Parts: sequence; structure tokens; C-alpha cells
Amino acid sequence: MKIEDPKAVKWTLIGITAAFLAVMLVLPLTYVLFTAFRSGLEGFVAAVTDKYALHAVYLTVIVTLMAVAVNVVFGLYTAWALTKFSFRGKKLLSTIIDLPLTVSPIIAGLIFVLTFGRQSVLYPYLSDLHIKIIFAVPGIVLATVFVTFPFISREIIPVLNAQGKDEEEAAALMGAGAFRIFRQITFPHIKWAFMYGVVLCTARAMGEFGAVSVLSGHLRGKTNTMPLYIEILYQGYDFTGAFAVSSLLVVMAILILIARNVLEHRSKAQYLKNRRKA
Amino acid sequence: MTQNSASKDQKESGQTPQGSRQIRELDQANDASLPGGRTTQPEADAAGSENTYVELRHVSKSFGDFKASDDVSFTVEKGKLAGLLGPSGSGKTTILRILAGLETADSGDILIDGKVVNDIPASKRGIGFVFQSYALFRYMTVFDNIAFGLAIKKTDRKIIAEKVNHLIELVGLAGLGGRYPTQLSGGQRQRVAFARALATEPHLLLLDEPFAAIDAKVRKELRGWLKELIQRVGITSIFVTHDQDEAIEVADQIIITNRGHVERSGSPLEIYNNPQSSFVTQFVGQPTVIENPGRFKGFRRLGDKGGKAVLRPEFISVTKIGEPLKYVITAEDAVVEESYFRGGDFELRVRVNDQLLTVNRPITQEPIRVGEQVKIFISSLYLLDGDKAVTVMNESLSNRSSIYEI
Repeated sequence: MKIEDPKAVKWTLIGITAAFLAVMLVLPLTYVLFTAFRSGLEGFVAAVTDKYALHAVYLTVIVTLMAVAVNVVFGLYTAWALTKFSFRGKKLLSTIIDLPLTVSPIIAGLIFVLTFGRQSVLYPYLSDLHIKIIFAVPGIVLATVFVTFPFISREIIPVLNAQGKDEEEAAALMGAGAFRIFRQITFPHIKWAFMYGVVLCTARAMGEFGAVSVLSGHLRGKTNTMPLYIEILYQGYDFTGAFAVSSLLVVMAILILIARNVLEHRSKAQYLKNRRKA
Repeated sequence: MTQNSASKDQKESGQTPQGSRQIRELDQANDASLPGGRTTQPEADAAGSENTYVELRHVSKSFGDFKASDDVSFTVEKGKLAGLLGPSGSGKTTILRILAGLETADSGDILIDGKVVNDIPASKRGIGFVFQSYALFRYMTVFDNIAFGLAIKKTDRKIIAEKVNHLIELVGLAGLGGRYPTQLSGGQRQRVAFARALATEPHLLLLDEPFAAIDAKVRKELRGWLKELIQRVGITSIFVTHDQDEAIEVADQIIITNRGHVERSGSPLEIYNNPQSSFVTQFVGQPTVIENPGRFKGFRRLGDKGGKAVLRPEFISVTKIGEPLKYVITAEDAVVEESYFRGGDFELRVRVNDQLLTVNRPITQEPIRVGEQVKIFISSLYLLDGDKAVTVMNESLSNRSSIYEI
């Protein structure tokens, strides 16, 4: 058998990938589900309908929605600013946006503890206003926003860069205002990349552990998101509970993956449709 | 007054009113071909001319260390089609973008219809702009592209439909209103871009290299179409090009840019026949730069002091040995080295005095072979003198003995 034989290469590569995924993903996931149902369906239902478990799900959804909402606005603005204008410090800004991807989430958490915690200069003002950030929901939202903020802008920036400024300039010359230009010219172009960014951002926000862990204070029924709650259960040797809640998180992640694939498929279909017409 | 100082005045004062313009064109054409002709152009102060529609006054713009526009001044008359012509990187597009308000000038004034528009944003200047890339809205149909500007002005839907359909017809795209830009050919996209720019009935139309992205054959056809359409609509237009044939064929007025400043502004005929500056002389036409022009017969009076001159094919005639020759004394012996068939004529490369020159010979005349001994006669040349260029006639044609009296 020659190594150049494309069929052999193809099946070898597929085989390696499949084996890798089996060991790294399928096996653990199966084990999660297996453990979750080890004490029967009742045990699973009891674990996921537990008061604290439900609150963790609720908090995760709320935090995710808020973080995604903030990052949608932030991501669009940044991408717009970085691609449509030239200004001093543009490169620096562009680099800083990527910081959450490179810095450890623990450090992200600590940054906020230092900024808003007891030792911070801001603390007296915040406590005067009865605003509690550390060990409270706002802190968790902040941490999640920080960790997920590159996702949306990073998806949009390449698309905007490839598009150039001509169409926007043309629209501006015809008297269009900034909002109309965005709505009618820019957004149709970045729609799919934007939605893809939202999906990635959502997935990351749901699963964030490190930064949230530092800021949350692990208060059951108050500041525990799903990943934190799972950890607590696990540390308490409640394997059924931990894996039951884990399986919920996995199902949510799978739903997001499906959403992602649907989006990808659609954008491809739209692209092909336009091409075919041309 | 010498030709040079006259031209300088004219360059600085810009355009003269339309009426005297035609006459001046003829004058200048004569100046270039007649020996000893004096420039008799009327020195009207164009800056205050009634017909001036667009005016740039000492406009400068830098990008970092790069001076994209360096003290640019020119005027364009109402209803005229002006071409900004220059090599790439000479600042043509920057001038256009400053006019449109897409770039802000560092200094100087931009006047449109007598009003300084420096502080008026692009969206309020009411200018039609055709981008080099056309910049058609790719997620909108041809109809919606053209309707965009009208929709912003909150025009009534019925009127929009009427106007847009009329424009689609005008640019020859009837039936294609429902297509997307990706479904059109280059020429069709150009027409859409043009229709879109005209939809809001601007008073000034700016076109950035409008034909650059179109293949040669369609380009030629579109040029004529554009000129005719602009004349029909009667809109003052300025287009950018690096193609001198395009500028000469299409424009009423040519503004030649070089390294960020305006070298020369005038009618195509004026600029072609009387290039005046060293740069323009070496840029327009089909120039051959020669060293030491005094070594050629008929130009001995230039002496042996070296110097440079520019020759164009139309300044040289070629005759076979045995064909009648009008000015025998000032004809040179030459050898044909290359010959190219160009359709209407042959383009010959002939070697004279160790200098390769280009000369055209109509196909209706007896053909000349490569390697053949021929006679050539140089009727005139442009002598380069610093930044200036002066026409020098062959002694046989000129009864003067000194060039400095021309």
C-alpha cells in the first residue's frame, strides 16, 4: 500500500479523529449520563428538581442572557469602531480585546475582586449606594461578560474588514445616517457571523467556571451557577446529583451546537443561492 | 511675453469664461504648430467667473509624512466634464474624496457653487459619487440600490418607482431591476452605480476611475455612453483616470496631477498641443525622451550643449528612399529596426544617430520593411528646460534663427 493512496490516508485520518473523539468526548459524556441515572430515574429527577439545582439553572440562564446582551452591544460597537475608522491606538485596542482569551479566568476574577472588593477605593462609594458586586449576582455577570467579550467582535471583524468601507461611504454620500447605514448596509452583511458569535458567546457564558468561582462566594441558592453547583455537589460526594446537573448543562451545550450548525448551514445555503443566481 | 510666463498666469488664474474658451483653444492649437506664434490668450480672472461651479483653493492634505495633496488649486465650469489625470499615486483620488467630503483637507478651501463647503459633511453636500469598486449594496436589488438615496429623502413611493424605472431604462438595464449586483456583468454594475449616483439629482457627479474594472472593449463603448449621458443630463462632473486616452476622449477639461499638485489644467487639445511643463510633456501623447537634441538635423542651433527633448510620433515623418522629400537638407538617414501593424497604420521603430524613435506610417502608403534605409524628417520637438517645455520647430519650417524668439 502506498502512502499516497488517498483512500488510505482518508480512512486513517478519519479513524484517528474518531478514536480521539471517542476517548476524549463520547466516553466521558456517556459516563456522565450513566452516573446521572445510576440511582434510577427518580434519583435523577430528584437531583435536578432540587431547589438549589433549579436556582442554579435559573441563575445560569439569567447570567448568560445578560452577558450575551451586553456583549452583543459591546461586540457590535467594537467591531464597527475597529473596522470603519482609523484612529490612534487602534492596534492597541484590537489587542486588548483579545485579552480575555489569553488571560486565565482566575485572574479575571481576581481583577474584579481588587476593583470592587473591600480593599478597593471604590468600595466605600459602592457600599454607600448599597451596591454589592463581589459575592453577588452583579459580580458573576461582570466576570462572565469579561470572559466572553471577544467572541462576538472577533467573529464580525474579519467579515467587516473583507467588506471594506465603500458601501458605507456610498450610503453616507446619499445622505444616510449612521443607524440606517448600519441597519441596511452593514448588518445584512455580518448577520451570520454575528449570530455565530452570539452562539459561541452563549456557550462560553453558560460554562464559565474560573472567574465566576472567584467572584461568586459559592452561596447556595444565591450565587451558584450550574458549573459552581456541580462542583459543590461533586465535592460533597453526591455523584448522582453532580452528574445529573452536568447532564443538563451538556444538553444545553448540545442544543447550542445544533443552533450553530443550523446557522452555518443557512449562511452557506444563502451564499450558494446568491452564487448560483450569479 | 514668452509662452511660458503666459501659461503660468493661466495656470494660476484657472479657467476663462466659456465664450472666449473656444477661441483660445484654436489660438493655442495654432501656437503650437505655427512658428513664432505668440500666445494671445485673454487673461480673464477665472476665480470670479460666473460659470465656475467647483473650485479648490490651495488645498493640502497629508497622510502621515505623505503629502497626498500639495497646494491644489483648480476650477471646473458648470456643466463641464473634467478629468483628473495623473500617474497612480499622484493624488487624484484624494482630491476627489476631499471634494466629496470623504476626506478632510488639512488646509485650503473647497467651493461648490460659490459656497465654501469645508465644514459641510459628505451626506449634506448633495454629491453623486461613483466608486471605483462601484460599492453597490450587495444585499439589495438593482432597483433598491438606485432607490436608496430617494428613500432617505422620504420621497413618495410612487415617485421613487417612477424615477428608478426611468433611470434603469436610461442606463439601458430595463428588465434587470430585480437582480442583485453579483448577478450583473462589470459593465452593467457600472451602469447601476451611475444610475444610483444620479437618482437624487445631484448637481455634481464625481467618478473614481469609472472604467478601470471593465475590459477594454466594453470600456471604449461605455466611455462614449457616459459622455453622451452626462451631456444629456447636463451635470457638472469630475472623473479620475490614469488613462490619458480616456481623459482626452471624454473630458472637456483635463487637470493633470503629479506628486500631489496640479501640473496643468486646460482643454484636452490645449494640453496635448501645448503641454508647457516638463512633466506633462513626458506624460501625454506617446513621448520619446531624447538626449542632446542639437545633434539632429534642423535643430543644430540648439548647439552641442546637451539637454533633453521630447519627440512624439506625429512630429516625425518617414519616407522611403526615392520618394519625394520636401526638406532634403534637414532630413536624416535612418534604419528601420522594428515594425508593428496597428490596424490603421504601421508603428515603426527607426534608429537615427544612435537614437531609437517611434514613427507611424499609414497602411495606404507603400510598406517599409524591417532593415530598410529610410529618410526621416523631424518637424518639431519639445525642448525641456527645467520644469518647462518649449516647442522648437525644424529650421526648414522656421525662418527664425533663435528659439528664444518663439
